[in-house]
Amino acid sequence: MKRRDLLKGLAGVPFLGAYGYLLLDKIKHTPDINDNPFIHFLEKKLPLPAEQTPYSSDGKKLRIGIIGTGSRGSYLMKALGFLPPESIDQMNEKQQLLFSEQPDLNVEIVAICDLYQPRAEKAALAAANIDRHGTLKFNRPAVRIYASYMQLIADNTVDAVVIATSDQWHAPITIEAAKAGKHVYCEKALTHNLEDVFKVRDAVLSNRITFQLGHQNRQTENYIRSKQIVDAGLLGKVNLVETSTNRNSENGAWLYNIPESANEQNVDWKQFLRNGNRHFNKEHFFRWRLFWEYSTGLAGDLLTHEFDCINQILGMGIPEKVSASGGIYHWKDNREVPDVFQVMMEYPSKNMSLMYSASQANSANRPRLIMGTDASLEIGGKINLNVDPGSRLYQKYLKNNLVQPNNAVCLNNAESLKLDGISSATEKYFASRGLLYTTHNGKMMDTTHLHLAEWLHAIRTGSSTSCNIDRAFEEGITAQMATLAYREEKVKKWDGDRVI
Amino acid sequence: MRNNKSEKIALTLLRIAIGWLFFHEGINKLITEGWTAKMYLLQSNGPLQSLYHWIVSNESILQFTNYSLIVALTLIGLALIIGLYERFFTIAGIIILALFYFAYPPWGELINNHTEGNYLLVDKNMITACALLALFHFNIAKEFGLDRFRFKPNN
Ligand SMILES: NC(=O)c1ccc[n+]([C@@H]2O[C@H](COP(=O)([O-])OP(=O)(O)OC[C@H]3O[C@@H](n4cnc5c(N)ncnc54)[C@H](O)[C@@H]3O)[C@@H](O)[C@H]2O)c1
Repeated sequence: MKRRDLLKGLAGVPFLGAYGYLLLDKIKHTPDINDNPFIHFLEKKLPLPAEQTPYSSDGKKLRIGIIGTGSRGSYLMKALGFLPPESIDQMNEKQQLLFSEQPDLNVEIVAICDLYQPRAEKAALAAANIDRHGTLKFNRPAVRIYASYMQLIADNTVDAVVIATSDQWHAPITIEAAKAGKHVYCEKALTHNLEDVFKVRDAVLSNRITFQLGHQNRQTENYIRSKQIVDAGLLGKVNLVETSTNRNSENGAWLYNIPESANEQNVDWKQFLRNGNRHFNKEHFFRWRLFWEYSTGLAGDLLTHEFDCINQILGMGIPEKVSASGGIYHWKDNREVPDVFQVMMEYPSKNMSLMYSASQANSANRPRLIMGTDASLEIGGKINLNVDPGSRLYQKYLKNNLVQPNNAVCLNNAESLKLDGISSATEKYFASRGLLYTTHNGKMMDTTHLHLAEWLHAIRTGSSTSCNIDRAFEEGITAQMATLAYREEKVKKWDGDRVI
Repeated sequence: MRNNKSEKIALTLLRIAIGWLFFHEGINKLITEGWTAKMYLLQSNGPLQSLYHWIVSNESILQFTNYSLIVALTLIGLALIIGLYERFFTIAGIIILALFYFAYPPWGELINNHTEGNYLLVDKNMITACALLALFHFNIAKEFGLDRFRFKPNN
């Protein structure tokens, strides 16, 4: 063989040598992560994320009534597996696939109640669509529509109700349902006023129904993980927590669409009013969040989500002192509730403060921040631990440069980080905020679906729900303290039994 | 085939570079303790989703898949670098890339589209596959690669 031939034929071989050399060199100089005592320390302290047990749907079919089928009510029905045939037509293939894969919860929706007739009718068709068909194949009769929630609750074929009305009706309906022995999934906020918080708790406890408040964040893997991190003591003593809401759009400021065709004939205005006899007002009916009579504004609508999320992680319960401030600084429309809103929640006996801050005229992304003496935890799409330079717990690791101060250590579920194809699709799995989707045993799931599934599982097995009446009570009292503090411009205190 | 030397060198470099990419993906998975394709397969959203979910549903099939993937990536990488059985391994590479492509097809409308780049229809997997297709046709390893010894009688 000619030398030239040989060289040409072996052209690739030196590259193989180069690769081997580089790889070995790299292995030699990459500090073995398993040899880093700091990582060892974290691993020792932090348990592996637990496999989540799937909520079982075995047993008898549960019969559900839906009260309030506006935007949230429809979403809850979808999460239960029921969509109107037209909505199925409008979905693209991928959405149809996702929906068809959503596990069957073994429920039937037997009755609907809403005060705006077109919504009730649409929901009644959705409830009948047990085969998840589009308009072409759908041919079932709509389910029963009741004109009032009292009638729906009186229906013997209803085992449990889902309440997604405007806030002023959550408590009266929950109480009535509990008295009738029906299990309740109620949307947040728990109530519209302070007394109702106590009444709802009494009704739920004395009638021993299974109750779930609609804080679906309870199902989000990142928050479950965050709780493990705090419980493991990795933050030291938590003394300050910051959490927020930022949105900047008409929708984000609750200026929802008012249907042209709505009128006194198809809106049951009298029933909508819980007290008094104000004249028919479409804006009030469709944009109820803007007015004190039906809503508590940011306190009930969005503070509650943030509060429950922190309560899930820290379990700090009701604040001993609450002050609030803010105003209508941007949306100079008819609204009565503030669009910029701050709430300070004090926990002197736990040595910590929780600060909530909201703007409906700016959409900066502020991750939740839990600040402890040894580290801060930043909870967004990722969970980042920032070791504090002043930490004593991590002192020796800091001194030996085994961890950089304030340099994020990502503590998401280790498995979800080990994702790899060939140079693509690495970060896809991290949703930026935990309210919509979560991974559940490695699969992307709708958190609301899981939250409902947990409630149904609890009804069937007698187990407890994650946002049960005790957690709901804490949410309810806190939101009411914030509302009262703002409206009365006073510091509100909780003495363990009541608000003063 | 044209007989321009710098063109041939460029093609050879392209082949080696792609081989390197595959080889490292294989070796890296081999030395990463506990590596598994499980999450990647579970989250996939393309037309092959049901196949991928089926793989994950059975632990031994998953193990087998993990193992085969590592072997395939490493072998394809090795063969492309040294230029052995080039035609066979370029096709094998294209098949693997297609499996990756259809696991997360860049066709828009993803719920959590936090990928490391932005793609519409064409992504890096597809481009690499196209390059392999070109290499398949040029078959440059016949000259610059071990394939040379398979075709030239040793005289
Ligand atoms: N958990 C979440 O993420 C989440 C998200 C959105 C809304 N919500 C909650 O869901 C609830 C509904 O919000 P929405 O945006 O769907 O409002 P919406 O105005 O779209 O719907 C409310 C519906 O309730 C009906 N209703 C009011 N009083 C009723 C009564 N006494 N009997 C029967 N029906 C009655 C109305 O007719 C209306 O259709 C609110 O409490 C809200 O806080 C929760």
